[in-house]
Amino acid sequence: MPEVIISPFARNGIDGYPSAKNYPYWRQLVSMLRQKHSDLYLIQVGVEGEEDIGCHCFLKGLPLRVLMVLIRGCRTWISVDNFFHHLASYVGKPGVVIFGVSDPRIFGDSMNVNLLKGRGYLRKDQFGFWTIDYRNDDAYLTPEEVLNVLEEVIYDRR
Amino acid sequence: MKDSCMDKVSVVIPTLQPGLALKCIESIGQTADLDRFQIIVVATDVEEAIFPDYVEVVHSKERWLPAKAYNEGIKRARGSYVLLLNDDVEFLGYKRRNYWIDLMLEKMNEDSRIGAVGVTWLSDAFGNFEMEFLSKEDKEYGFLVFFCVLFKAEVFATVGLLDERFVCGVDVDFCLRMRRKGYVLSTVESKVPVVGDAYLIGDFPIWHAGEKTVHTVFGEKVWNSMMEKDLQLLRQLYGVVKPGIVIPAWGDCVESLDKCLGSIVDNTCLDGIDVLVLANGCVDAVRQVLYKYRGYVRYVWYDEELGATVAMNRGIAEVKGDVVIILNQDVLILGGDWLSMLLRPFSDSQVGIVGPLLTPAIGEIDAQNVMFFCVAIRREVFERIGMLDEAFSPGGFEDIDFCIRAKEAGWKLVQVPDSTFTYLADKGMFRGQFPIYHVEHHGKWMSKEVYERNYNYFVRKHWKHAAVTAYVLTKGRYETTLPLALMGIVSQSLQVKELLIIDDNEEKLDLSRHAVYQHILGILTRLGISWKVIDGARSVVQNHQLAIKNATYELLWRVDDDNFPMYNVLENCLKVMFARPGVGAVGSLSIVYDVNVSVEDTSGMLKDIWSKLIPQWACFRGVQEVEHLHNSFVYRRRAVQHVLELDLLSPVGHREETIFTAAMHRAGWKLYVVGDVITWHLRQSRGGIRSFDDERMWKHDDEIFAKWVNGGQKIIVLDSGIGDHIEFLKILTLVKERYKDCELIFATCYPEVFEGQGITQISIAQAKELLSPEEYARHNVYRFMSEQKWTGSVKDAYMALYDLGDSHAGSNN
Repeated sequence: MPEVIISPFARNGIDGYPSAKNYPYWRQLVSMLRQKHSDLYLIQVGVEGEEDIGCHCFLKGLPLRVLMVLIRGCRTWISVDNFFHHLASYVGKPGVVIFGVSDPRIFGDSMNVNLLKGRGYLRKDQFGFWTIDYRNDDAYLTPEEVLNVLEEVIYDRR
Repeated sequence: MKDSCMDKVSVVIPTLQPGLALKCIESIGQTADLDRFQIIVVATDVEEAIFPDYVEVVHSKERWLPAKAYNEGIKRARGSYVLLLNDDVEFLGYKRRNYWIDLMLEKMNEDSRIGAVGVTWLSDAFGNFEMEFLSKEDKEYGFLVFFCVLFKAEVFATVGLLDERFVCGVDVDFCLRMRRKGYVLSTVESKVPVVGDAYLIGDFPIWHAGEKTVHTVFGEKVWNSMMEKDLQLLRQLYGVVKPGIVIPAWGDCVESLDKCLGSIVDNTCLDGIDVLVLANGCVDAVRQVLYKYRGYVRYVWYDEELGATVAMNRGIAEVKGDVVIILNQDVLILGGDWLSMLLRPFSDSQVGIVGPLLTPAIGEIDAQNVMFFCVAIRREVFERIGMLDEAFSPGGFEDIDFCIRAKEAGWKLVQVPDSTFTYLADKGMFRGQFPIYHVEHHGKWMSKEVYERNYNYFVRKHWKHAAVTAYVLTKGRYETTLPLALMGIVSQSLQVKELLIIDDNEEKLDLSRHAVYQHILGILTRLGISWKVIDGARSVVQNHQLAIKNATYELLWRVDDDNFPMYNVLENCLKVMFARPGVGAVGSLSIVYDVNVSVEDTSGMLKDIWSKLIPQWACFRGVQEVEHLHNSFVYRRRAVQHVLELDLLSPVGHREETIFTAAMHRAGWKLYVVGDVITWHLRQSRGGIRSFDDERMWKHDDEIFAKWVNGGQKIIVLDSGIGDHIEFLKILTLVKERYKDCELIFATCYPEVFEGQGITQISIAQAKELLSPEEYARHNVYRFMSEQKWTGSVKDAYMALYDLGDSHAGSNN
């Protein structure tokens, strides 16, 4: 069963609130993915305390070396702009990254499909902390749009 | 013929709102017999005032403040008693008829000395302001709140009318004046529960809207401002301490002095305050400014410039007041509470000096001193410790000197307010919580030469002991140069607080029994320098580590046992240490008396170590920055957290001081050599590290040193997210290649990222200890990207930051 890893959240901001880089529609996306592609095994990775977005399993607090093994073996992966896509590109496995307010030209890797709704939504100062003030749900693509791209990557249609 | 009002109570009600006064009057009629009263309403700031026929009306279209309004009513009062009543008062009918007036009269007649009966006492505070300036006796006398107070009519004949300079403080003032005439005050005893934002006076059937009304009429801000001014006047009339203000003025200060005096006049009730301008060397046009403020300010004119210190002293001697306030001619007073803020702490009789800004630290000297651009000083302090030291003339450091002397004499210094004052150095002005603005215009006397001279004088005067641990590592030199090294330390113009002797001799001498050393140790004890002899560890490096571990103070002065520092070495090294930011170590010249080295043959750069001598060998003037030091120098303990790397050396520790200091430099600390001051290097063929005669050790250390000079350690700080660590991991090969001659040390937040990569890792906290703050900040890739307006990737930013090939593509700068 092909595995898709989902790393849905960035580390909380220094203000203690969820990062402004988090995608707001994970539950809808996962629900659609599971309905449409029952052949996929969805693995959420993250840390204790994070929201369960409805994947087949939720692996918490994996050491980097284990994550790297997991990444090597998966069909593909999808994440927000968090550490995961850096690790995956270090491993050499391409995937999908949902950007919104942070700039993929600075923080993304060209190996991946970096999704950005529009550069007009980017935060002006890219080098400060991602506190809750910079959250903007309008900056993100819809679950349908993300699903279309993810399907292309999973089924190698790109 | 007897006046029909003689036995009556004259009620005086000032009002700006006739409707309100009417309700008040109606409440009198509803709760008491009107024929017992003569009712006078003083209605001002109203077009017309229509009241029942039994009310006598004084009407003015102009607004009168309460004291004047009351006075106009009092002048018309014909009763034996006068009841001053606010218009926002209503009497309540829940007691028998006439209850309240009978009760007040009963109280009045309890004691013939009673001159006034009120409803409630003023609390200790005057609004939100304390009246700490009053004497204990005045405070205990108590004050009636004048919203409803019954007076014997004779009181006004004896004491006079209300003082119309007051708005809100009129009741406090009048009560104090009554006290001085021998009257006693009383109240109908009642509790004052607060109901909502008004007062219901317990058993006494009265309702008073209180401050709600005055805030409505005047606005809360205006009312509070009036309270501040009244408080100042009360302080001047009744305060235990009376202030006098001195403003030394010099040169062409027409504009600044005009603004300064204008701001004082605008923000200060100057009644009874002596304001003295000590004009010295001023241009003639200043006379016009002084003329403009005549009546507020007096002046003494000197054609010649006296200098700030002398001018202040003459002003202090001339001005009248228990507390002398010194203001610079270039300050602007910004608020009416400045004087109260300055004077309030003097209610504590131990407080001698009060000001808004504390001086910055001067080396290790106590920094809690007040700057004299705005300061209040109790006159008694001058009487006890003398005036400002005119040796500082024309000026500079006399304020700090005076504060230190005052503190030594037991006076307290207080900063007001107790919050941090902002110093905007780039604009040369002071602003903060205290209502003052100060633009520094030093006179022409504040030249670099004067500053240096006064600094030196100041340091000599106060800096008797520096918080420094001196230490001497010694081996085989008991009978040669060690006594000279110790005497050099003992004889400094600025003495250390502690001396450690690390005795690495195999056969120890009991120094306290030796004919020479017992004298040296005796002198140390007499000078108050604590000293300790510590057994050495048979290794130069470990001995230094021992000293660092045992030292009490953050600053250490290492003196080799074949060195003899002249008297001014420590003082001058510390001056350089404190005068610049980020200094890790400072050494003096280190001169061998029979060797002449030309400055041209020296270099302070590490790369030249094989071909040139360090500048410490040659005589030169001034201060020179270098990359390493040798022999003796003063250093910060914080800057040498890297001494561990010296463990690589053999026990002889050959080149140890070069690695020791060059590593400081690599960690971002600055090193200096001070010319002009000499430590004599009394080179010995035996003893010290020359006690080690195993050539292999010397050779080993030379090899280690050669490798170290070419490389050493490279610390990289990754104080960032795990994603950034991984980006750095991607370029690790390039980093290793770039720094192949160095031992790479990464300070990381996520050490697991670099596990198995052959990298020494330390914590972020350790990196902060190892590196200077400036060097630490240089590793911040986000700061770098922000400064460079970076548009490339984080990985490229790291490559640019660590100089890994052509990687500046992302920079928009």
